[in-house]
Amino acid sequence: MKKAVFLAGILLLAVWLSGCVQQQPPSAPSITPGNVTAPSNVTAGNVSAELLSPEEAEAIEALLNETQSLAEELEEPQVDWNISVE
Amino acid sequence: MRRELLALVITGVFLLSFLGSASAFSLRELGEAIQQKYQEIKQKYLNASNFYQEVRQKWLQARETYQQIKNETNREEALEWARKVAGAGINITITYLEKVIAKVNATTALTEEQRSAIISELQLRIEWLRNRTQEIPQANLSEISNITHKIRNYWQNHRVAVKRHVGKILSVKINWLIQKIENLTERAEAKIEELKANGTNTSELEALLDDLNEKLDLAKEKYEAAKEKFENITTLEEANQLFREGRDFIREAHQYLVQAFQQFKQLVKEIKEVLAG
Repeated sequence: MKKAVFLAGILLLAVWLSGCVQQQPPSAPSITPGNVTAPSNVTAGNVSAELLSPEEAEAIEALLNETQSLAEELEEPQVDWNISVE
Repeated sequence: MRRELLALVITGVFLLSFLGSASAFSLRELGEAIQQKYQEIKQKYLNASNFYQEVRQKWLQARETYQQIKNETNREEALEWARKVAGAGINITITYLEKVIAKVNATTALTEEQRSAIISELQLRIEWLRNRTQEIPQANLSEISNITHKIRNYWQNHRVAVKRHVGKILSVKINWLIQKIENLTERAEAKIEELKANGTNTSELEALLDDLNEKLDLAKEKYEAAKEKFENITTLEEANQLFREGRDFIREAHQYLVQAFQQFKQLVKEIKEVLAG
C-alpha cells in the first residue's frame, strides 16, 4: 500500500515536471541583470538566446511598432459642433 | 509513513502547480482578448469617422439649400440632416473615448489603480454624451443647435484630461521599452565582462556597447521631457501645444529606442562571432 502511494507520488511528480516544461506562457520572461549566469561551457550557439530570447525580441519589436503610430491613432476626432442654419 | 507524507506533499505541489499553470494560461487568453477588443473598437472608430464625414457633407448641402430657399421642405430636409450629423458627432466622440479606454485596458505598464481611475473618468464622459444622444430625435433645429453648443463646451472642458491620459499611455509604453532594452544591455555588459576576464579582446564590443548606452540615455532624456509636457497639460489654452511638444519628444525617444535595439541585436551578433572564434 505504502509502495503504491509512493509510486503514485513519483508518477505525479513526473507528470508535473513535464507539464511545467510544456505550459510556459509565451510572454517575455522578466529580465533582470541578476538572472544571467554565464555557464562555464558558453557556446556561440546558445549565447544569442541567452542574451535575447525570441519572445523578448518579439515583445520589444511589437511595442516599438505599436508606439510608432500610437499618438496619431489616439488623436481626438475633429467634430464641427456648430450645427445651425443661421 | 514518511513515504506517504512525501507522496502527499508531491500531490499537493502538483495540484497547486496545475492551478498556477491554468491561471497563467487564462491571463494570456485575457491579454489576447483585450488586444482583440482594441482592434474591434479601432475598426468601429474608423467606421464612425467615415460615417460622420459622409453625413456632414449631406448636412452642409441641406443647410445651404435651406439658406437659399427657406421653405418647409428644405427646412425638414435640413432638420433631418442636422439630427443625423449631431448624432454622428456624438457617436464618433463616444467611440473615440471607448478606443482610449480599450488602449488603457491593454496597457499593462499602467497600474491597476491608474487604469481604473482613467477608465471611470472616461466612462462618466461617455455617459454624459449618451444622454445628449437621447435628446436629439425630438429636437428642432434651434434645440439641436443648443444641444451641440452644450456638447462643444463640455468637450472643451474635458478634452484636457483626455489628452493628459493619452500622454500617460504614450509615456508608460516608452518607459517600458527603455527598461527592457536597458536590462538587455546590462546582460550584454555582463557577458562582455566575462569574455574580458577570460582574456578576450573586447574593445570593439565595448565601443558598440557605449554607443548603445548613449542612444538609451538620449531616449531617457526625451522620455523625461515628454512626461513633463504631458503632466503639465492642465488648461485648454495650452493643451494642444503641450500635447504636440510631448508627442514630438515621444517620437524622438522612439527613434532612439529603435536605433538602440538594432544596435543591441548587432552586439549580440558580434558576441556570438567572438565566441565562435
